[in-house]
Amino acid sequence: MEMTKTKPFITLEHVNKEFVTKNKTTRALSDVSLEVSKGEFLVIVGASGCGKSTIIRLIDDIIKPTSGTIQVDGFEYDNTKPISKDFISRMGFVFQIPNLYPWLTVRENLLLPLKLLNINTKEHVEYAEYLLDMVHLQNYAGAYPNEISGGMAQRLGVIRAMVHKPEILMMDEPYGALDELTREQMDIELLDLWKQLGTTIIFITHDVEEAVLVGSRIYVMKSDPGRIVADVPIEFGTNRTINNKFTHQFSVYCDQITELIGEIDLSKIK
Amino acid sequence: MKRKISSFLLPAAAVIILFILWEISISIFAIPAWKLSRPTEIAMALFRDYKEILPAVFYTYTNVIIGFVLAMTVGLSLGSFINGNKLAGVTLTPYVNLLCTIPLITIVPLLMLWFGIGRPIIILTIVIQSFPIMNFNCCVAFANVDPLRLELMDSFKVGKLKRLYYCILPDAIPGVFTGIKLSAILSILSSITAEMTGGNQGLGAQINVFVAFLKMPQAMACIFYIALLGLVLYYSISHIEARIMKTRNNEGEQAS
Repeated sequence: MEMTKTKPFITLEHVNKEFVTKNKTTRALSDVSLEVSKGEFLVIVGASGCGKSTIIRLIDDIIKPTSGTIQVDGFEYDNTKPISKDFISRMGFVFQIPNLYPWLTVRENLLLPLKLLNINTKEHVEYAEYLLDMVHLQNYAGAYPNEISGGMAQRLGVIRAMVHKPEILMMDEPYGALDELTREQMDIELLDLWKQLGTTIIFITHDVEEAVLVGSRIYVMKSDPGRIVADVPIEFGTNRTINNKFTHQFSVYCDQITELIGEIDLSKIK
Repeated sequence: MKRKISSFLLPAAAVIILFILWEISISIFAIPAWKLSRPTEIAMALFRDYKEILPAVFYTYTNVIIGFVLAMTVGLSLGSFINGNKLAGVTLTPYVNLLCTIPLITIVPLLMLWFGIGRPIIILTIVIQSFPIMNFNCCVAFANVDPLRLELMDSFKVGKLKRLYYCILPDAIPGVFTGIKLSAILSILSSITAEMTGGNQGLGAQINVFVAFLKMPQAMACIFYIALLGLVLYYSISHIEARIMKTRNNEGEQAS
């Protein structure tokens, strides 16, 4: 055991999650334990239905674990004790689809978290403008979501989760609906944001190449029931570029993770 | 622009043609005036007997507006309350739905027996008949809010009121407006029914008097004012809805 290891920022200990419906009980997660360090870019990869999204929904306290505990920066919560309200403003959530409100403009969508969290400082409003500029949406600030492209909407979804300056950003397959070229571009933009802001990111994807490109560490998951089968550190450092994709090491990582995910049983995909 | 003009001109032309056919048919088939009045006689009654008709118009219009606004408020408030409180939903929904199905004509005499006649009873009747449909539509619209949009609210752990204001209400606007439109129509119907059943003022009561004295053009003039109120209310609500929905017309379509 490493004695010098710093205390993890986020911890899940023996977490189980069951979804109970009228007809049956589905075990989504089985005895999941994981640790995330502060400022880390953690990726969780696995086939559809293996419980990746469930993990970040549990951390964000959107759903409750059936058993086990979750700890963020020393604060523990479980199925009886909810997360502290103070922690909510320290977390941001990016959904699989941009999940923008069509009745709000680009700027109004971006500022929505500030209204929900009662944050009304000039600093945050200026930061919102900075984020708009950073993802090249300044000229579309007055447009409605139906007037911008899918890539723009997804970028807005990402910066909306960052506008209240969260320390933890949870991203649920944020670029899954985009084409490969746009996705790679967005991944690189996200890495730039991560380097600039030092946010702790938990990134969910089913794309192995995307996982290796952005992650500093990868948890590999398998389904039925959802469990973590491997913890793979990615030794590319923080200065990553798209060129990493063309290195031998990149292919080695991809092969290793693909092998760990194993053969997918289509009948078990929910 | 061309489309806009034709959407106004065509219905107007249809009405004019209908009036002409109506006028001609009465002459051709020799229909007596006490059975059906000519459009020209009705138009004359509108101007000639305005002193008799206008107080009734004012009385009915104010009752309908007050009752409609109250019904809208009660329906929306109750819908919001039921949406945020499962127990209240389970307890109250069957009774509200029951009110939707009971024909008003059966309640009005009872209400008058219990509380007497006059403006408050007519307004109460309008509210009782119109708020359930508003409430029903609100409940359906609130229950069908996109779960992912609600999840955004959940991720910020917002309270019920913020959830309602920032997500549920704006998302449910189309359903809420359907409720408002139906509620407006029912407000007019219930007002006239109450006035005809036991009122001594208003257009409903006035129609009873005119029919009793076989003053058919005057009775038809009263019906014209009822239809006018219905049209004005319906199109005003549609106009407000269209303005609100303007930014959301292509909600499902996104540029690529």
